[in-house]
Amino acid sequence: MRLGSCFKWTFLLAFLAVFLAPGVYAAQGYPNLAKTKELVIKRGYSKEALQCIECHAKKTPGIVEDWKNGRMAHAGVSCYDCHVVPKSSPMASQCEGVRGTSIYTSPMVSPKTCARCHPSEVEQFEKSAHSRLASAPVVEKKKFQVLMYHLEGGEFMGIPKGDPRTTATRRSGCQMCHGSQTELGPDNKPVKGTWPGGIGHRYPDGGIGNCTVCHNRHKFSIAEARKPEACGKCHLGPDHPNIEIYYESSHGQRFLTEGEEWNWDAAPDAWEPGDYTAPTCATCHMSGIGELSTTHNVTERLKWDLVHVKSVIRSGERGNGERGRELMRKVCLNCHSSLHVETHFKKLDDVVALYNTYIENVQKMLSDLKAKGLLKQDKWKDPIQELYYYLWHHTGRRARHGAAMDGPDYAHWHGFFQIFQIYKDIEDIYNYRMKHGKIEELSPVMSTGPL
Amino acid sequence: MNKGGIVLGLIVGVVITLIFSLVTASKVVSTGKAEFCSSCHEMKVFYETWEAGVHGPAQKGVVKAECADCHLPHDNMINYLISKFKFGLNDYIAHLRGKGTPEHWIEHWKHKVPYKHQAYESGCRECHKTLVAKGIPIKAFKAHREYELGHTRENCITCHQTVGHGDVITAMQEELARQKMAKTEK
Repeated sequence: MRLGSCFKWTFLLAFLAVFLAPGVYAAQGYPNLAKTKELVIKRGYSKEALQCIECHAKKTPGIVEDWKNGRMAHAGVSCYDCHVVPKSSPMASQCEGVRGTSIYTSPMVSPKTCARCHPSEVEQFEKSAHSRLASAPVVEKKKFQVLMYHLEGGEFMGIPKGDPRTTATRRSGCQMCHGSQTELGPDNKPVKGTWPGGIGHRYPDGGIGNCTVCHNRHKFSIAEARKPEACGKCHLGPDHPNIEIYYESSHGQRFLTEGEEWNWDAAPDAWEPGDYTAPTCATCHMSGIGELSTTHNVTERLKWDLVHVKSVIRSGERGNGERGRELMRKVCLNCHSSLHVETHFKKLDDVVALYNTYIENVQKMLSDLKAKGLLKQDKWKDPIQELYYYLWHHTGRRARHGAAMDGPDYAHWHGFFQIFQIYKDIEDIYNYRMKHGKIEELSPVMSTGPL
Repeated sequence: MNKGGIVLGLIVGVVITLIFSLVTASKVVSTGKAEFCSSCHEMKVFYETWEAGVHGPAQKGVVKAECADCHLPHDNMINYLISKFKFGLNDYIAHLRGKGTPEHWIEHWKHKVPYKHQAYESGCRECHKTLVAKGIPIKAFKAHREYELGHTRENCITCHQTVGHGDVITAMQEELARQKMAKTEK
């Protein structure tokens, strides 16, 4: 009998625990299930800086955990150094921890702040296509705005301008890699999802760029940025499968096989062959190797512009192509014979020449049709213009990038094998329109484009 | 003319020159002091923000730098004097034309960075000779080393923007608000 009543009570208590406990949590707010950190530091920081660290160790333990394991913490750089701004800064606001004091902070940190300690890196970065040029499409180019809001954003099918749905694709797509222009609300905080943004992001203090794209906050790791995955977060997919090409190449093969054993932490300009057995993206495009020193200008060691419709040797704002080739040759010679290097670059130059021939012929056909009024106004309903887009923007880039970084599957199957077929389809449509003097009634091609 | 006359003339000449030089030199020094500069009412906000800032007397009871220590070039004497004459004339004319109001400055700073206004690196370096000195925080090491090696063209004020006059934009906005309030009360 006593045993029975004992069971009853146990059952009742268990019942209460199971069904009431969640109610209690819901009333109090769920506890932070990650360990709540008590972090007390005495060394090397001002009183204000310590307050930030101690409060955020409790409020946002993930951030402080990341920070304390990174080089910033070792160098004594804390929240305060990067996030505190003068009251008159366009980005100045106050978190609850500093409300009522004369300390103003900003969640946004632009490269201008990074440049205080890393001036050379930021200066080089600003000369590269990762800076202003990266966000130019999203911020400056009319054509891109039509794509983001009118087409992808659905204005063309009746979603009214200003509806949040129209900017959804910018916020989830374009801006994430390219960056955007931060717009501020009356409280100096970013609005309309205009922050954070990708590598060419524009800040209210005039800074352009986002260092944390490759050196993610709040660890800011050099090893992370040296790994190909840092670049692969944007340089992937049907239009520029650079990470896929790399994985396919011999360089990538050795990275995938042996990369875990490599020394990823050597000091800048001292990371040399031997620390690794094959290069990553960073090794060739940025790192100090042999006689070359480090650069944050990723376009500095390039000869060709391989992303636009027709490939030309880089000049002006896009760099100095001839010099770029010389620099890249010096990179290669650290591990390859001059014969190997010359053979590779000859192959790339010929691939570019072949691709340019395709594109010039197609451009000629299009200008003939345009002169005769045989192109549709809406190019996304016009098969010949759509095919042209996929020709250069997708298959054309795949062929060129595949050749440049030794990914044969991309140079061939995803590249020229599709280029010649698209060319033939374009030719057929061209011949039809020229012969009949009119545009065919139905599109003979799928509009999703070849992969 | 007798010999005695020439000697006397020389002595008098040297003495007069000496006195003139000393007076000029002392004027050059005294007109670079904060007391002199702030005798024009346009300088009120600049004086107050300097006084409260790290180079002024308020923080440790000692003046660390006067106006001309920062706002004139210290690379050579001739350049210093020419600049002093030029800026002095400029400020005098601006004073006569009634410029230098808070509105003027706030408008001016919309297009220009306020902190770099005629503050010379050579002025900073007169006192701050050793940058990577004993006792600096570790974090300052990296930034100053790039500067010392000549890897960057950025200068002291690029980073240390508020050492002269604190957050001078905010101070100027507050002064403007005060003046407007005083006007409406009248």
